[in-house]
Amino acid sequence: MFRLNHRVAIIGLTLAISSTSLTAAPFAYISNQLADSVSIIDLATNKVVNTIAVNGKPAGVAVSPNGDKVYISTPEAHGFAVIDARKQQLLTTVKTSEGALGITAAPDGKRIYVADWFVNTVSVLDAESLELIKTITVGQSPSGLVVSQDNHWLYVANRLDNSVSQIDTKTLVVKKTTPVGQHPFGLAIDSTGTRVYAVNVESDDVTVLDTAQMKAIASIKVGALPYAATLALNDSRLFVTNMDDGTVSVIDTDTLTNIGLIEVGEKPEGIGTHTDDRHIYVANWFDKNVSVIDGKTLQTQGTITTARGSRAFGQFIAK
Amino acid sequence: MKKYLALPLCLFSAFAYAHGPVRQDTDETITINAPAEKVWGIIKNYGDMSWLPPITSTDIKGGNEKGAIRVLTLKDGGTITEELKKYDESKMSYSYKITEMSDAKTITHAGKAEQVPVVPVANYSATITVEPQGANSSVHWKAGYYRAYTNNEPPEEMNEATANAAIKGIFTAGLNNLKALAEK
Repeated sequence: MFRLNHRVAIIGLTLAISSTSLTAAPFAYISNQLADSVSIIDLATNKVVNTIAVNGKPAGVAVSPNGDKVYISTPEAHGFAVIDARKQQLLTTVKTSEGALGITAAPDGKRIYVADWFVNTVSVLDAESLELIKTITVGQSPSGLVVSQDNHWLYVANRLDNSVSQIDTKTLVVKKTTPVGQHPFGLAIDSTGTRVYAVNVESDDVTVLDTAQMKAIASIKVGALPYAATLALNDSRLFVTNMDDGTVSVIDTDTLTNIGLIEVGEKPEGIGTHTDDRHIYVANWFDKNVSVIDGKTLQTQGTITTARGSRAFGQFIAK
Repeated sequence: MKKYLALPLCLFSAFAYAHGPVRQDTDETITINAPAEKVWGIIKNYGDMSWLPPITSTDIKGGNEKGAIRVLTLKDGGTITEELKKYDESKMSYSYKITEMSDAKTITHAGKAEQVPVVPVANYSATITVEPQGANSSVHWKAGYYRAYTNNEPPEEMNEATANAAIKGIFTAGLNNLKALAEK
């Protein structure tokens, strides 16, 4: 017990120090799966400032809440890589399981969650020691992961089970599993933790889940083979990548209707929101670049060249 | 209700099932000593794949517009069904995806029978584009796909290397033949 408290104190101290030195602009970390690298984009200039080699076909991305660390899942290296965001260097690699793909960091920075595509588990790791705390069995081919801002609930999309599971982060037990559309992949959660949006690749729609009841309250049609989603402008708009159409669907979260469709590159996959809560970044897998969208005007603002197989699955922008 | 519907659906959508964790790509370009219009003239009809060597016939439903379906028949009798996703005459480009394939063979792997499709890939989509290069042209053909095996530890017949070699083989043969036809 003493040891735990001690550790918490150290983390607290580190947080305080690093947040004071954090005066630079936010960054986006784009996993380039076929190039075995991660492109670091400075969001103030929208330029790639560094490219870091990461072996094992990097796919999923998570950033620690204080922006110090970046976690990159590496399915072919059966785990994830840890990047020191300040030094922009690879720090270490961690083995978890066969097909590590979805990854996310807890809002308090203390845990890392890794979903495994093949063995149907979520690994829970201590973010400081990088040691395994628990392995939770979930549905088939778990992919997208999000944690509520209050750090109470972890949600996982079970792709082949067509469901989303809600896991209590205190007990690390699945509380409820709810059916959604066909093959949910990416998830998005609003800042109050009231709603989770599941992007269903095979049924070309988004399921809106009310988390209090864990009930689907709506299903919204989007484009072909949707992949992931992000919220912006005070959670008022949801942006969804449509892989097969090369577009981003824009959904008004009040009316739960489509209000726009934006052309981006070919095979858009990962999507994330700038810390300004307005600009949207989309990784175009086939075009080896990232599109920037103004979430307010719904206009594209150009592209940023990255590398082969840009995927950026997860929360890839440091807050 | 939804739960019961999901089961029979899975049975025949096996092709669009899960996939390996890493999507692969093949990207080939060839320079042709013929004007772009001439080259585009050979490939522009979605329902005519006679320029691609292993194809013996093409059945087409629809024309050169989104949603058109073509069924390619191979020399050995295998079939590939493809849907037109995008067609842009002004850019001399079209995109399509494979929606169904016949099986080439059945293998046993990890104690289970596995159907190997005629092209050993999954979730395949591609774009072919003709670009003018002065009086000549270049043709760019690119595809994104997963390996055919959906679980961990694939057999050799269904792994990434086999998928990549198959697509590269088709692209190279197709582009070389297109060049020969256009430069005639």
